[in-house]
Amino acid sequence: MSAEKRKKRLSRKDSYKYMTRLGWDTTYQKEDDVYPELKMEGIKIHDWDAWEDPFRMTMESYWKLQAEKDKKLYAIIDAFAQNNGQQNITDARYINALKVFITGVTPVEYMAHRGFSKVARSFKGEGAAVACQMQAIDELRHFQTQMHTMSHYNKHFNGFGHSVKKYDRIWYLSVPKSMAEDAMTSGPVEWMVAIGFAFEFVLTSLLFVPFMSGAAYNGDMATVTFGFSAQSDESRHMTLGLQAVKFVLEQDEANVPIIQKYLEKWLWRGYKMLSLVSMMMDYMLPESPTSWGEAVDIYIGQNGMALFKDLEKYGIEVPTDMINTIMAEKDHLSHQLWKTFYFHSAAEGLHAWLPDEKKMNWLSEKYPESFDKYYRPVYEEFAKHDKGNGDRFYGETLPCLCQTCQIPLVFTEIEEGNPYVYSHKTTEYNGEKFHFCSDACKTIFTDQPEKYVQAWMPPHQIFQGNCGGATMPEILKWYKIEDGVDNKDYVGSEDEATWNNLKNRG
Amino acid sequence: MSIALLVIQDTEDGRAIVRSIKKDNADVKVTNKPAMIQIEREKEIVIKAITVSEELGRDWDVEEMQIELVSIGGQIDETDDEIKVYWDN
Repeated sequence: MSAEKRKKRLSRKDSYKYMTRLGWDTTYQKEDDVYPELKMEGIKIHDWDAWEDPFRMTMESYWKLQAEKDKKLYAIIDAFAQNNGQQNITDARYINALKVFITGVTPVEYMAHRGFSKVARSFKGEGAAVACQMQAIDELRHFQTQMHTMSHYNKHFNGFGHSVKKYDRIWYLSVPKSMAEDAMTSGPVEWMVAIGFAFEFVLTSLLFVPFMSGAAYNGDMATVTFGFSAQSDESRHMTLGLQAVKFVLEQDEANVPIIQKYLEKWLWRGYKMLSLVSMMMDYMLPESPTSWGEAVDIYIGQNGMALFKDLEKYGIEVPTDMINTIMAEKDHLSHQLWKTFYFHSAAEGLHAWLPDEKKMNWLSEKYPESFDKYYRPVYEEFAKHDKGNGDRFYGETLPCLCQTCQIPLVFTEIEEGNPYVYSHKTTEYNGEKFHFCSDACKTIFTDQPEKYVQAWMPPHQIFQGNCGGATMPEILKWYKIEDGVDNKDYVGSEDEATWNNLKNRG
Repeated sequence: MSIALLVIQDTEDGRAIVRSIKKDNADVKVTNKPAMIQIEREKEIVIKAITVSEELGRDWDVEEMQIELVSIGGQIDETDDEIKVYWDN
């Protein structure tokens, strides 16, 4: 090796020890007053020093590495803009996936920033606090870099404006928003299990890895770069989430049933939210390198199972039933959602379209058990009424939402063998009836009904007169969706005309 | 036995890391995907700083792995000399 040897310095172990153990015990205030959330969940911690970050990251290394990641990313964002990268994507339909992203994912990054800042303050141990502080800064970086990257598309295409306001208001965006707020209003350990473990370890790989690889496959250099730049942080977050769970389980046996409950709740909450990603992968990427089903096989079937098996020695039981449900539904999820988005696209901040023959053949190949039997006929029927024939029908009725995950009741009883029957569960609380998409969502509600009865349900809010008015144009205006510009079919849209001009087809 | 998973960016440095992983991990499965490289192996995957340094022709710090990481499936153990992605089951 010709390279010069580095100067002698502390080993990673020692440097981690000296640079992260900077806390103190309280003297003139009671510990419970300084850390008021430590005991609220019934979690018992005896030795905070047992917490160790497996990457042994110190703030010094952190700033250096993050600066390098940002330098790389911004060089590419500039190059993308300077070279009119928007012209090199496979098709402008793809950009609608970014509209879902900037309104449905990017604001969740900001919520994660707030959540980790709060949790960093809540934990008494410095190892945990430092790791959470780093993650809080990461999440803010993700929010900012995603905004910066996608702002380039905002210069050329519709539907990117008011993304945070849309997150607060539009019906389908209450799915990610309510999930993030559910986690934010939980105790600090539940937050770590929700976001650090279930979401980061088990689920974000489904979002960032195959979808971003798909972005690259479709010529979107800018998005793949922010995606992977964010994902390089996720690997640290996944490790932090797993460390948090292991640490809490090792501290006291009494913690095991609490963690088990959190794991199951948040695996399910995260899975439901990510169903949005299933349609982004299977339908919104013009060229899909990986199907949702294949990604579920790797990240849930293989990886998620291995993870739960690692936790078995602490007394955690693999949530086999839930994983079986996810595996059973993988052949149906994206199709059931995209047909809903196509049907209701008058009330959405993005364009929809029917899969063409090439796409349908790809879907048949990837989903041999389900696509041709259940979903191709639906799209063929839709096609008969598509714009060309003048009777394209947009659904405008307000759907019944699941009180927990806030997804309309569009999923069917796959596992029960009734794929034509909508899955609909109900329960009563304080004399009122509540509706659910699944048994798992119902269980989450019945465990904490006083929390979920407060959910901000978009259709209810419309009926109560809190969403700008009673008519579709009034509600769209309040949603910040420009009617006839941002919504409805891609075919015939301004976006399509822009794209054709860019490609000199106009 | 569970499969350890590592996904890294398909970049100049990333490819050097993959070459070193192939040298140090018998029977490793490497799959090229758009913009990234997926690495799978039973039980564990080891990345040795010395091998990566040889591949790159410069001193490579294990910390630099952070720049190239896309995803992991496994627990992590990082020392001055190597990073291990492993399952404990």
